[in-house]
Amino acid sequence: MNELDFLRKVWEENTIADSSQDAPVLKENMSMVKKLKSFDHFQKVINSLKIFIITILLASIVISLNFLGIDSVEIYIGISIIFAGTISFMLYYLRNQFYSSKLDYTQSSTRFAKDAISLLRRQNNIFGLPFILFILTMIVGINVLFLGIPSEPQSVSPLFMHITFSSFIALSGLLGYRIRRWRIRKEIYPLIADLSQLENQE
Amino acid sequence: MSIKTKEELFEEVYTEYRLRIYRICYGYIYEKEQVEDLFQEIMINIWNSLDKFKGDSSIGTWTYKVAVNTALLYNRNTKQYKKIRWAATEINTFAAFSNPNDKIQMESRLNHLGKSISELEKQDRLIISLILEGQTYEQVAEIVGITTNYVGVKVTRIKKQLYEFLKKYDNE
Repeated sequence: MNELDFLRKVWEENTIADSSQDAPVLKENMSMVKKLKSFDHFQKVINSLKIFIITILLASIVISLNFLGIDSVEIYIGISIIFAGTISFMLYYLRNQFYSSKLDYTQSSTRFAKDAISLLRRQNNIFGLPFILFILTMIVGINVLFLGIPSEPQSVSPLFMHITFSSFIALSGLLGYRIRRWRIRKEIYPLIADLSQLENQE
Repeated sequence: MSIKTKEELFEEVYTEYRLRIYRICYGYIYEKEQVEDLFQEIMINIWNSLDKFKGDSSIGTWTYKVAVNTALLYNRNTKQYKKIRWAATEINTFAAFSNPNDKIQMESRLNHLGKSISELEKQDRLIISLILEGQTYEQVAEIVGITTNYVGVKVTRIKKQLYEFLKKYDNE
Protein backbone atom coordinates (compact mmCIF):
# COMPACT_ATOMS: atom_id res chain seq x y z
CA MET A 1 0.00 0.00 0.00
CA ASN A 2 1.51 3.34 -1.00
CA GLU A 3 1.44 6.43 1.20
CA LEU A 4 -1.57 7.98 -0.51
CA ASP A 5 -3.61 4.78 -0.26
CA PHE A 6 -2.77 4.65 3.41
CA LEU A 7 -3.85 8.26 3.90
CA ARG A 8 -7.03 7.50 2.02
CA LYS A 9 -7.69 4.64 4.42
CA VAL A 10 -7.08 6.94 7.38
CA TRP A 11 -9.27 9.60 5.79
CA GLU A 12 -12.13 7.18 5.27
CA GLU A 13 -11.99 6.10 8.88
CA ASN A 14 -13.11 9.60 9.71
CA THR A 15 -16.73 8.81 10.35
CA ILE A 16 -16.97 11.56 12.92
CA ALA A 17 -19.41 14.12 12.17
CA ASP A 18 -22.01 11.68 11.08
CA SER A 19 -23.32 11.68 14.58
CA SER A 20 -26.66 10.47 13.32
CA GLN A 21 -25.33 7.32 11.75
CA ASP A 22 -27.43 5.11 13.94
CA ALA A 23 -30.63 7.02 13.29
CA PRO A 24 -33.02 5.85 10.63
CA VAL A 25 -31.68 7.50 7.49
CA LEU A 26 -34.96 7.96 5.70
CA LYS A 27 -36.59 9.75 8.61
CA GLU A 28 -33.59 12.03 8.81
CA ASN A 29 -33.69 12.74 5.09
CA MET A 30 -37.30 13.75 5.28
CA SER A 31 -36.61 16.07 8.15
CA MET A 32 -33.82 17.69 6.12
CA VAL A 33 -36.15 18.11 3.12
CA LYS A 34 -38.70 19.69 5.45
CA LYS A 35 -36.07 22.12 6.76
CA LEU A 36 -35.03 23.02 3.21
CA LYS A 37 -38.60 23.62 2.17
CA SER A 38 -39.16 25.90 5.14
CA PHE A 39 -35.94 27.75 4.26
CA ASP A 40 -37.25 28.34 0.71
CA HIS A 41 -40.52 29.53 2.19
CA PHE A 42 -38.72 31.87 4.60
CA GLN A 43 -36.79 33.49 1.74
CA LYS A 44 -40.03 34.06 -0.18
CA VAL A 45 -41.68 35.57 2.90
CA ILE A 46 -38.75 37.95 3.41
CA ASN A 47 -38.87 39.13 -0.23
CA SER A 48 -42.64 39.64 -0.04
CA LEU A 49 -42.19 41.58 3.19
CA LYS A 50 -39.71 43.97 1.55
CA ILE A 51 -42.15 44.70 -1.28
CA PHE A 52 -44.96 45.16 1.24
CA ILE A 53 -42.97 47.68 3.33
CA ILE A 54 -42.01 49.74 0.26
CA THR A 55 -45.65 49.79 -0.88
CA ILE A 56 -46.86 50.87 2.59
CA LEU A 57 -44.26 53.67 2.70
CA LEU A 58 -45.34 54.89 -0.72
CA ALA A 59 -49.01 54.82 0.20
CA SER A 60 -48.48 56.48 3.60
CA ILE A 61 -46.58 59.41 2.07
CA VAL A 62 -49.32 60.02 -0.50
CA ILE A 63 -52.06 59.73 2.17
CA SER A 64 -50.20 62.04 4.60
CA LEU A 65 -49.77 64.73 1.96
CA ASN A 66 -53.47 64.60 1.13
CA PHE A 67 -54.42 64.59 4.81
CA LEU A 68 -52.24 67.63 5.67
CA GLY A 69 -53.67 69.53 2.73
CA ILE A 70 -50.21 70.62 1.59
CA ASP A 71 -50.45 72.42 -1.67
CA SER A 72 -46.93 73.79 -1.98
CA VAL A 73 -45.30 72.79 -5.25
CA GLU A 74 -41.81 72.89 -3.69
CA ILE A 75 -42.78 70.37 -1.02
CA TYR A 76 -44.22 68.02 -3.61
CA ILE A 77 -41.13 68.40 -5.80
CA GLY A 78 -38.81 67.92 -2.79
CA ILE A 79 -40.62 64.79 -1.64
CA SER A 80 -40.73 63.48 -5.19
CA ILE A 81 -36.97 63.95 -5.54
CA ILE A 82 -36.30 62.20 -2.21
CA PHE A 83 -38.72 59.45 -3.07
CA ALA A 84 -37.43 58.90 -6.61
CA GLY A 85 -33.84 58.96 -5.34
CA THR A 86 -34.55 56.43 -2.59
CA ILE A 87 -36.51 54.07 -4.83
CA SER A 88 -33.89 54.26 -7.62
CA PHE A 89 -31.04 53.63 -5.21
CA MET A 90 -32.88 50.79 -3.47
CA LEU A 91 -33.69 49.12 -6.79
CA TYR A 92 -30.08 49.51 -7.90
CA TYR A 93 -28.90 48.23 -4.52
CA LEU A 94 -31.18 45.17 -4.54
CA ARG A 95 -30.27 44.39 -8.14
CA ASN A 96 -26.54 44.55 -7.50
CA GLN A 97 -26.42 43.25 -3.98
CA PHE A 98 -24.50 40.03 -3.60
CA TYR A 99 -26.77 37.11 -2.89
CA SER A 100 -25.08 33.76 -2.86
CA SER A 101 -28.33 32.32 -4.26
CA LYS A 102 -27.68 34.25 -7.49
CA LEU A 103 -24.71 31.99 -8.19
CA ASP A 104 -24.81 28.72 -10.05
CA TYR A 105 -23.16 26.24 -7.70
CA THR A 106 -23.27 23.47 -10.26
CA GLN A 107 -20.54 25.02 -12.43
CA SER A 108 -16.88 24.17 -12.26
CA SER A 109 -15.03 26.07 -9.51
CA THR A 110 -13.07 28.29 -11.90
CA ARG A 111 -16.26 29.40 -13.69
CA PHE A 112 -17.98 29.78 -10.32
CA ALA A 113 -15.11 31.93 -9.02
CA LYS A 114 -15.32 34.17 -12.10
CA ASP A 115 -19.06 34.74 -11.61
CA ALA A 116 -18.70 35.26 -7.85
CA ILE A 117 -15.95 37.86 -8.40
CA SER A 118 -18.10 39.67 -10.94
CA LEU A 119 -21.05 39.79 -8.51
CA LEU A 120 -18.85 40.91 -5.63
CA ARG A 121 -17.37 43.71 -7.74
CA ARG A 122 -20.84 44.81 -8.80
CA GLN A 123 -21.81 44.97 -5.14
CA ASN A 124 -18.69 46.97 -4.29
CA ASN A 125 -19.56 49.48 -7.01
CA ILE A 126 -22.86 50.33 -5.29
CA PHE A 127 -20.90 52.29 -2.73
CA GLY A 128 -19.16 54.40 -5.32
CA LEU A 129 -20.82 56.86 -7.68
CA PRO A 130 -24.42 55.56 -7.21
CA PHE A 131 -24.22 56.11 -3.46
CA ILE A 132 -22.74 59.61 -3.87
CA LEU A 133 -25.53 60.47 -6.35
CA PHE A 134 -28.09 59.13 -3.87
CA ILE A 135 -26.76 61.38 -1.10
CA LEU A 136 -26.67 64.40 -3.43
CA THR A 137 -30.27 63.68 -4.46
CA MET A 138 -31.31 63.58 -0.80
CA ILE A 139 -29.60 66.93 -0.15
CA VAL A 140 -31.24 68.54 -3.19
CA GLY A 141 -34.63 67.03 -2.27
CA ILE A 142 -34.55 68.22 1.34
CA ASN A 143 -33.47 71.74 0.32
CA VAL A 144 -36.23 72.02 -2.28
CA LEU A 145 -38.70 70.76 0.34
CA PHE A 146 -37.63 73.48 2.80
CA LEU A 147 -38.19 76.14 0.16
CA GLY A 148 -41.90 75.26 0.31
CA ILE A 149 -42.21 75.60 4.08
CA PRO A 150 -43.49 79.07 4.97
CA SER A 151 -40.94 80.80 7.27
CA GLU A 152 -42.19 82.50 10.40
CA PRO A 153 -40.42 85.49 11.94
CA GLN A 154 -39.67 83.75 15.27
CA SER A 155 -38.41 80.52 13.80
CA VAL A 156 -34.78 79.72 13.00
CA SER A 157 -33.44 81.20 9.79
CA PRO A 158 -34.11 79.16 6.63
CA LEU A 159 -30.42 79.30 5.76
CA PHE A 160 -29.56 77.65 9.07
CA MET A 161 -32.10 74.87 8.35
CA HIS A 162 -30.68 74.34 4.86
CA ILE A 163 -27.12 74.13 6.15
CA THR A 164 -27.99 71.93 9.15
CA PHE A 165 -29.98 69.36 7.23
CA SER A 166 -27.60 69.32 4.26
CA SER A 167 -24.65 68.78 6.61
CA PHE A 168 -26.51 66.08 8.52
CA ILE A 169 -27.30 64.13 5.35
CA ALA A 170 -23.78 64.62 3.99
CA LEU A 171 -22.15 63.46 7.23
CA SER A 172 -24.50 60.47 7.57
CA GLY A 173 -23.71 59.54 3.98
CA LEU A 174 -19.98 59.90 4.59
CA LEU A 175 -20.19 57.73 7.71
CA GLY A 176 -22.21 55.07 5.88
CA TYR A 177 -19.78 55.21 2.97
CA ARG A 178 -16.72 54.79 5.21
CA ILE A 179 -18.25 51.92 7.17
CA ARG A 180 -19.18 50.15 3.97
CA ARG A 181 -15.72 50.67 2.42
CA TRP A 182 -14.13 49.36 5.62
CA ARG A 183 -16.29 46.22 5.44
CA ILE A 184 -15.46 45.78 1.78
CA ARG A 185 -11.73 45.99 2.54
CA LYS A 186 -12.05 43.60 5.48
CA GLU A 187 -14.47 41.03 4.08
CA ILE A 188 -14.78 41.29 0.32
CA TYR A 189 -11.25 42.01 -0.91
CA PRO A 190 -9.72 38.93 0.78
CA LEU A 191 -12.47 36.77 -0.71
CA ILE A 192 -11.92 38.24 -4.17
CA ALA A 193 -8.18 37.61 -3.76
CA ASP A 194 -8.86 33.95 -2.86
CA LEU A 195 -11.27 33.45 -5.71
CA SER A 196 -8.93 35.19 -8.17
CA GLN A 197 -6.34 32.48 -7.61
CA LEU A 198 -8.87 29.96 -8.86
CA GLU A 199 -10.14 32.12 -11.68
CA ASN A 200 -6.64 32.52 -13.08
CA GLN A 201 -6.17 28.78 -13.36
CA GLU A 202 -8.85 28.30 -15.99
CA MET B 1 -38.45 18.75 -12.25
CA SER B 2 -41.38 17.62 -10.12
CA ILE B 3 -41.15 18.06 -6.38
CA LYS B 4 -41.33 14.29 -5.91
CA THR B 5 -38.38 13.69 -8.26
CA LYS B 6 -36.48 16.46 -6.49
CA GLU B 7 -37.12 14.90 -3.10
CA GLU B 8 -36.08 11.46 -4.34
CA LEU B 9 -32.89 12.84 -5.88
CA PHE B 10 -32.10 14.75 -2.73
CA GLU B 11 -32.60 11.65 -0.64
CA GLU B 12 -30.21 9.79 -2.91
CA VAL B 13 -27.57 12.50 -2.57
CA TYR B 14 -28.07 12.77 1.16
CA THR B 15 -27.87 9.05 1.76
CA GLU B 16 -24.91 8.42 -0.53
CA TYR B 17 -22.84 11.53 -0.04
CA ARG B 18 -23.53 13.12 3.34
CA LEU B 19 -20.56 11.45 5.00
CA ARG B 20 -18.26 12.31 2.11
CA ILE B 21 -19.46 15.91 2.17
CA TYR B 22 -18.90 15.99 5.90
CA ARG B 23 -15.31 14.88 5.35
CA ILE B 24 -14.81 17.54 2.66
CA CYS B 25 -16.05 20.10 5.20
CA TYR B 26 -13.55 18.80 7.76
CA GLY B 27 -10.80 18.92 5.20
CA TYR B 28 -11.59 22.57 4.68
CA ILE B 29 -12.50 23.89 8.10
CA TYR B 30 -11.97 22.26 11.45
CA GLU B 31 -14.26 23.69 14.04
CA LYS B 32 -17.17 21.35 14.66
CA GLU B 33 -19.82 24.05 14.77
CA GLN B 34 -18.54 25.64 11.60
CA VAL B 35 -18.34 22.28 9.87
CA GLU B 36 -21.98 21.73 10.65
CA ASP B 37 -22.84 25.21 9.37
CA LEU B 38 -20.94 24.58 6.17
CA PHE B 39 -22.55 21.16 5.79
CA GLN B 40 -26.01 22.65 6.15
CA GLU B 41 -25.20 25.38 3.67
CA ILE B 42 -24.02 22.78 1.17
CA MET B 43 -27.24 20.82 1.66
CA ILE B 44 -29.32 23.94 1.10
CA ASN B 45 -27.39 24.74 -2.08
CA ILE B 46 -27.78 21.16 -3.28
CA TRP B 47 -31.52 21.36 -2.69
CA ASN B 48 -31.79 24.74 -4.42
CA SER B 49 -29.65 23.60 -7.36
CA LEU B 50 -31.29 20.23 -7.96
CA ASP B 51 -33.53 21.69 -10.68
CA LYS B 52 -30.34 22.36 -12.65
CA PHE B 53 -29.21 18.75 -12.52
CA LYS B 54 -29.52 17.49 -16.08
CA GLY B 55 -27.53 14.30 -15.73
CA ASP B 56 -24.63 15.55 -17.90
CA SER B 57 -22.21 14.47 -15.20
CA SER B 58 -22.66 11.86 -12.50
CA ILE B 59 -24.66 12.85 -9.45
CA GLY B 60 -21.46 12.41 -7.39
CA THR B 61 -19.41 14.86 -9.45
CA TRP B 62 -22.34 17.26 -9.49
CA THR B 63 -22.66 17.04 -5.70
CA TYR B 64 -18.94 17.65 -5.19
CA LYS B 65 -19.12 20.72 -7.44
CA VAL B 66 -21.83 22.25 -5.26
CA ALA B 67 -19.94 21.28 -2.10
CA VAL B 68 -16.59 22.71 -3.28
CA ASN B 69 -18.15 25.95 -4.55
CA THR B 70 -20.08 26.44 -1.33
CA ALA B 71 -16.91 25.91 0.68
CA LEU B 72 -15.04 28.46 -1.44
CA LEU B 73 -17.55 31.15 -0.51
CA TYR B 74 -18.13 29.98 3.03
CA ASN B 75 -15.76 32.17 5.01
CA ARG B 76 -17.40 35.30 3.64
CA ASN B 77 -20.17 34.93 6.18
CA THR B 78 -17.98 33.59 8.92
CA LYS B 79 -16.92 36.65 10.82
CA GLN B 80 -15.16 34.70 13.52
CA TYR B 81 -13.47 32.31 11.18
CA LYS B 82 -10.51 30.69 12.83
CA LYS B 83 -8.52 27.67 12.05
CA ILE B 84 -8.82 25.15 14.82
CA ARG B 85 -6.78 22.02 14.82
CA TRP B 86 -8.48 18.77 14.20
CA ALA B 87 -9.52 17.42 17.53
CA ALA B 88 -9.94 13.89 16.29
CA THR B 89 -9.85 12.42 19.76
CA GLU B 90 -12.95 14.37 20.65
CA ILE B 91 -14.97 13.70 17.62
CA ASN B 92 -13.92 10.36 16.27
CA THR B 93 -15.21 7.11 17.55
CA PHE B 94 -13.20 4.52 15.62
CA ALA B 95 -15.62 1.95 16.81
CA ALA B 96 -14.26 -0.57 14.35
CA PHE B 97 -11.00 -0.90 16.24
CA SER B 98 -11.12 -3.52 18.93
CA ASN B 99 -7.44 -3.19 19.72
CA PRO B 100 -6.84 0.05 21.72
CA ASN B 101 -3.35 0.43 20.25
CA ASP B 102 -4.67 0.35 16.71
CA LYS B 103 -7.31 2.86 17.66
CA ILE B 104 -4.78 5.25 19.22
CA GLN B 105 -2.48 4.89 16.24
CA MET B 106 -5.27 5.62 13.79
CA GLU B 107 -6.49 8.58 15.83
CA SER B 108 -3.01 9.99 15.94
CA ARG B 109 -2.58 9.47 12.20
CA LEU B 110 -5.88 11.16 11.49
CA ASN B 111 -4.92 14.05 13.73
CA HIS B 112 -1.66 14.46 11.88
CA LEU B 113 -3.43 14.27 8.55
CA GLY B 114 -5.91 16.93 9.65
CA LYS B 115 -3.13 19.20 10.91
CA SER B 116 -1.17 18.71 7.72
CA ILE B 117 -4.15 19.47 5.49
CA SER B 118 -4.82 22.59 7.53
CA GLU B 119 -1.37 23.88 6.53
CA LEU B 120 -2.29 23.79 2.85
CA GLU B 121 -3.80 26.56 0.72
CA LYS B 122 -7.63 26.62 0.74
CA GLN B 123 -8.01 25.32 -2.79
CA ASP B 124 -5.38 22.67 -2.21
CA ARG B 125 -7.27 21.45 0.86
CA LEU B 126 -10.32 20.88 -1.31
CA ILE B 127 -8.33 19.14 -4.06
CA ILE B 128 -6.58 16.75 -1.69
CA SER B 129 -9.89 16.05 0.07
CA LEU B 130 -11.41 15.08 -3.27
CA ILE B 131 -8.41 12.88 -4.05
CA LEU B 132 -8.65 11.24 -0.62
CA GLU B 133 -12.33 10.65 -1.32
CA GLY B 134 -11.22 8.56 -4.25
CA GLN B 135 -11.98 11.00 -7.05
CA THR B 136 -9.90 10.54 -10.19
CA TYR B 137 -7.82 13.35 -11.73
CA GLU B 138 -10.43 13.61 -14.50
CA GLN B 139 -13.23 14.00 -11.98
CA VAL B 140 -11.29 16.59 -9.98
CA ALA B 141 -10.53 18.44 -13.24
CA GLU B 142 -14.24 18.55 -14.03
CA ILE B 143 -15.16 19.75 -10.54
CA VAL B 144 -12.49 22.44 -10.33
CA GLY B 145 -12.53 23.39 -14.02
CA ILE B 146 -8.84 22.93 -14.79
CA THR B 147 -7.08 20.48 -17.10
CA THR B 148 -6.37 16.94 -16.00
CA ASN B 149 -2.64 17.54 -16.48
CA TYR B 150 -2.78 20.56 -14.24
CA VAL B 151 -4.60 18.52 -11.58
CA GLY B 152 -1.73 16.02 -11.80
CA VAL B 153 0.83 18.77 -11.34
CA LYS B 154 -1.07 20.23 -8.41
CA VAL B 155 -1.63 16.87 -6.72
CA THR B 156 2.07 16.03 -6.99
CA ARG B 157 2.93 19.33 -5.34
CA ILE B 158 0.21 18.97 -2.68
CA LYS B 159 1.31 15.42 -1.84
CA LYS B 160 4.90 16.57 -1.46
CA GLN B 161 3.83 19.33 0.93
CA LEU B 162 1.49 16.99 2.78
CA TYR B 163 4.17 14.34 3.33
CA GLU B 164 6.56 16.97 4.63
CA PHE B 165 3.98 18.20 7.12
CA LEU B 166 3.11 14.63 8.12
CA LYS B 167 6.77 13.87 8.68
CA LYS B 168 7.08 16.97 10.84
CA TYR B 169 4.09 15.98 12.99
CA ASP B 170 5.19 12.33 13.19
CA ASN B 171 8.55 13.46 14.59
CA GLU B 172 7.00 15.72 17.19
